[in-house]
Amino acid sequence: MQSLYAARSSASRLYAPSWSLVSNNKEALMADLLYGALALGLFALFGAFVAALRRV
Amino acid sequence: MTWQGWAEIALTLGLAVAIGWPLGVFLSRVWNGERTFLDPVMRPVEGLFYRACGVDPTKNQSWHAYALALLAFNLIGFVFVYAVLRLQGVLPLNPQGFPGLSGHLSFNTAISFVTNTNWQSYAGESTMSTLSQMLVLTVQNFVSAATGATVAAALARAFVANRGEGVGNFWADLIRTTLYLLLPLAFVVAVVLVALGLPQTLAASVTAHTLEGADQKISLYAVASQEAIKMLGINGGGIFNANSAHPFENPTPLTNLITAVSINTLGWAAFFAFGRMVLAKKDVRALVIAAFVLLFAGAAGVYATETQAPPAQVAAKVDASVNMEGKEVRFGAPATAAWVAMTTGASNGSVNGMHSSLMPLGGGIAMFLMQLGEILPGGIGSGVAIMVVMALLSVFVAGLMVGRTPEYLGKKVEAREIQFSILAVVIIPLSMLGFSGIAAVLPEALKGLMHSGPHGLSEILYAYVSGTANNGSAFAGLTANAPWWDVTLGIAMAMGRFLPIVAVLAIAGNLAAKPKLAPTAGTLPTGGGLFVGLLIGVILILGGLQFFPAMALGPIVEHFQALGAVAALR
Repeated sequence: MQSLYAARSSASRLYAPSWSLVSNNKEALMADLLYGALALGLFALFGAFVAALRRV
Repeated sequence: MTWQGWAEIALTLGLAVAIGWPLGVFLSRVWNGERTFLDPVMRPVEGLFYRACGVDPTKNQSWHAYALALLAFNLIGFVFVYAVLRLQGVLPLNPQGFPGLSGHLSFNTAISFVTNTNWQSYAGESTMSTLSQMLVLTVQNFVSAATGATVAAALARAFVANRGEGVGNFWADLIRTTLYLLLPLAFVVAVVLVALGLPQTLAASVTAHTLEGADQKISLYAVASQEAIKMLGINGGGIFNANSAHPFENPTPLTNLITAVSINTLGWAAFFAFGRMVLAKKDVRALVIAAFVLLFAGAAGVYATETQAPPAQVAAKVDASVNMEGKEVRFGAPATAAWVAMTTGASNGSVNGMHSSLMPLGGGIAMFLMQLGEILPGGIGSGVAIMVVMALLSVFVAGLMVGRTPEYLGKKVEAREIQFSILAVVIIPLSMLGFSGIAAVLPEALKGLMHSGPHGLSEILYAYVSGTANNGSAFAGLTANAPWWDVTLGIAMAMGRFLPIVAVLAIAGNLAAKPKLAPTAGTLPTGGGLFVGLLIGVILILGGLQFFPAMALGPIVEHFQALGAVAALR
């Protein structure tokens, strides 16, 4: 039981959520920006694929 | 192998088709906007959604408008899922007290559930709060399945149209499929599963007092409601890490039968719905037969391999008639074999036994069924859509052989349709083999493997095959919650989902604009045994041959290693 709680609290240090901008968690913010940009880029690629096939 | 085992496999696979047929008739009525018995309850709800979203359901969209609407909806879904998972630690309904997920895991999970893959680089019971499971993952299970269904609906309308302009309305198709088919069916199945013993609670856990005097926390969730749509929506993402091998997700052989049948039944329903909409039941029956033959062959192959002598049991001089490693005793080899085939043929990805513990050829068959393109019967709609692409390529090949312009379901198949069909088909091996090749030599990727040698290669190949095919099952030895795996698998899942969808919608747009032709003496019959054989041949060549070198280095080599080990021990 104790070790389970300890594992959880250590996990929360590892996975600091992005809401903790107030505590200047730059890593979380950078991660969100990176993955957000990656997702947007992917969907932009798919949109470009639509445009390309439309022109064919 | 016993006759009871064969009967069990045949019953499970056959029931899925049999139940799929009436559901397909119903689904075609939903897609056509015809009256159904659910109208008194669902019409007002449907209207509410249209008014709230400002959607005109009668507006006929062009194929590119349909595709852009589909992409926009899924992008919004991704953003929402990502945000909730990152903020999980501060959101309500988190009795487990779990923190937010890391950025790369949130990215992977969001892409995974939005693409209907449900690849899980995490163990649900130690990672996901109740809110995350119910609000984002379960909701995505519904709408991602409905998204795939819309593609089949659009393609069916394209074959029906005679010099038409549009392929339907994405929002109407999405909402109607969710409200009229998925929600009611999932509700009924969830209630049945609760009655058969699956937990359905908002409590985090129950404490058991062990014989040694310690306290053990056993995780609980709203399991039945998630389990129902996990199977019916051909999602596969379970609450617990052991998925449908866990007694809370699949406690008895009866729940195993119900959930196994649920894996395939709506995929078959989409086939029958397509056939009814395009008024080509005989031609679609040929597609169903081809898919069923390949699916049954896969299940038979896995059953045969799992009833061989595993080297470790031979070495220990134990009765080695069945490889029970990784299998649940309450299911055994036949039920596991049927499940392996159904889950990998259908882009479901749930497991009732560990795929990494299958004999090498068993794991190879699981990979092969995914490599064929998830068309056996595949996802709700996405399966029949890619199967129709295979049919277009088959009539094209036949047309080349006999020197006639190919036609399919009354539409001429010309250069543009074939180009788009090749695009839809070539994306799959590009992603599967491309990512696997890079991961096989990159130290960062190799860190996540449990095994070296051929089984290690199989772990890599299985991951990218599963991700690209939007299956979601895995060889459990792979530690996928690392930036490399999370990011590249996310990209593979997105590519494998949306690029073929866009290509299929482009095909639909082109076909819709063509005139509808009556069959002539020169039209290749596509409802008979000859076409079934041709189709199976094209599927095996397109799906199988390009993966043969990779498979030869993975499961096939491992199979011969196992044979050699058994021979040396005897």
